[in-house]
Amino acid sequence: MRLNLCLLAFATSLMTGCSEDDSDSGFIGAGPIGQSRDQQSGNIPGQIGRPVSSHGGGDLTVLGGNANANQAAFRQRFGLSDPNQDQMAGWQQYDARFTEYSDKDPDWPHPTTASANWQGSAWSNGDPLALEGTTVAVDFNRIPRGSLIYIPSLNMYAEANDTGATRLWSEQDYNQSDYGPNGAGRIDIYDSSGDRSAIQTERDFNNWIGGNDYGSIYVVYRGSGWKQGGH
Amino acid sequence: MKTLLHAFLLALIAAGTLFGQNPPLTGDPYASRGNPRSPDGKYVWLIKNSPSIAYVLEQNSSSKVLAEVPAYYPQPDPDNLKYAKACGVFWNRTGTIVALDELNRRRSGQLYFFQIQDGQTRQIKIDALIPVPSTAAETRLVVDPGWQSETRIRLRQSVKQKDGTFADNFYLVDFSIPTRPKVEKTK
Repeated sequence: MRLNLCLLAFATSLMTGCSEDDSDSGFIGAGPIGQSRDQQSGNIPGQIGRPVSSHGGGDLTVLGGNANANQAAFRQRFGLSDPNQDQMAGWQQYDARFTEYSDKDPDWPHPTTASANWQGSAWSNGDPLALEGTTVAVDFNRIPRGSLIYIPSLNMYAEANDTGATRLWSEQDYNQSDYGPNGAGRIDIYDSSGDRSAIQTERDFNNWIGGNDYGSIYVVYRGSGWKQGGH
Repeated sequence: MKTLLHAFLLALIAAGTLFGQNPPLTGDPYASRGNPRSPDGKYVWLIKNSPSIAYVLEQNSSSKVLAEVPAYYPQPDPDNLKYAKACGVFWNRTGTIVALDELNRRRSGQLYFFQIQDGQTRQIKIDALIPVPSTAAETRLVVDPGWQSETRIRLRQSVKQKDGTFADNFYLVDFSIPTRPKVEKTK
């Protein structure tokens, strides 16, 4: 009975909890090419110009039922739109490897050193929740915590507010482009599994990116300062 | 009804086994585990925050630094410090072997072993003794649940397979001869 109550309490704790803490993480280290955290690599995208084409037409459904809605709300809140070539030319482009993690991960219930997400929603212990369609986990040694990134192949803006097995990633991807001189490391895209199994979720992701797990990303803003412009 | 109750209890026990982790999934995941002080009180693990976050083993009486290892996220900021403080320190009964286990979430963190003898320390590396399955995309070693005897500690290898599934493998590491630890698979 005690175990039953514990499981019930834990499940309840996962569904509750809210934090408005949107404070900066205070990152002071260097990124892939030695920029400081406050160095914005370009302008926040505006509303003009010809949009860049992407695989899948920007449909993020495979990341979870609310992925498209979250991406739309994210763009609306921060005034983000499909970037044109001129805007992208002003951002820093990096090599990256795309992987996925999901809420079917046994380690999932407790993020690591994540920063507050753009919605400010959090676990009961204050850790920020991941949001399908906008959250990616990155190697904070490569991309500062809270940065705004753009993934052209998915036409997806994302917040780099979570992190994962970064030392392992750098070891396993040694000599790969994502950990090369222009590498941003792995971009571990959050996936809300819903009623899918872990294996199905992984399979869906791999089919979606079609074997193009090595690609490029743009860092639109380094660090979490861009969120101050939200409303 | 009785059969149903038994089935339910068995399911709960199975769930407890399946999700049994160190640290536990319930409660504060950032609570430290174990005890930073050695059983005889002679040594203590501290966390320093400058110029980078690191774990430091000190001799209590003299504050002499006996060992130091960097935290998994070494940049000194509050989130990384919170993560570093969530480590587990597991001493054997005689205080001659200690395991320093960083928070084991999302396969982040490291597991270190040290032998302490007459105020001298020596790191014992065991990773190479525990095989990484060829099907693994990521693995992580953690103490789970702790020392089983004066010389034997039980570890869990958390594995994310290349197909996206997960598995746990358990090992007993025997430090009877600290320079030559022995590893055997267990349940």
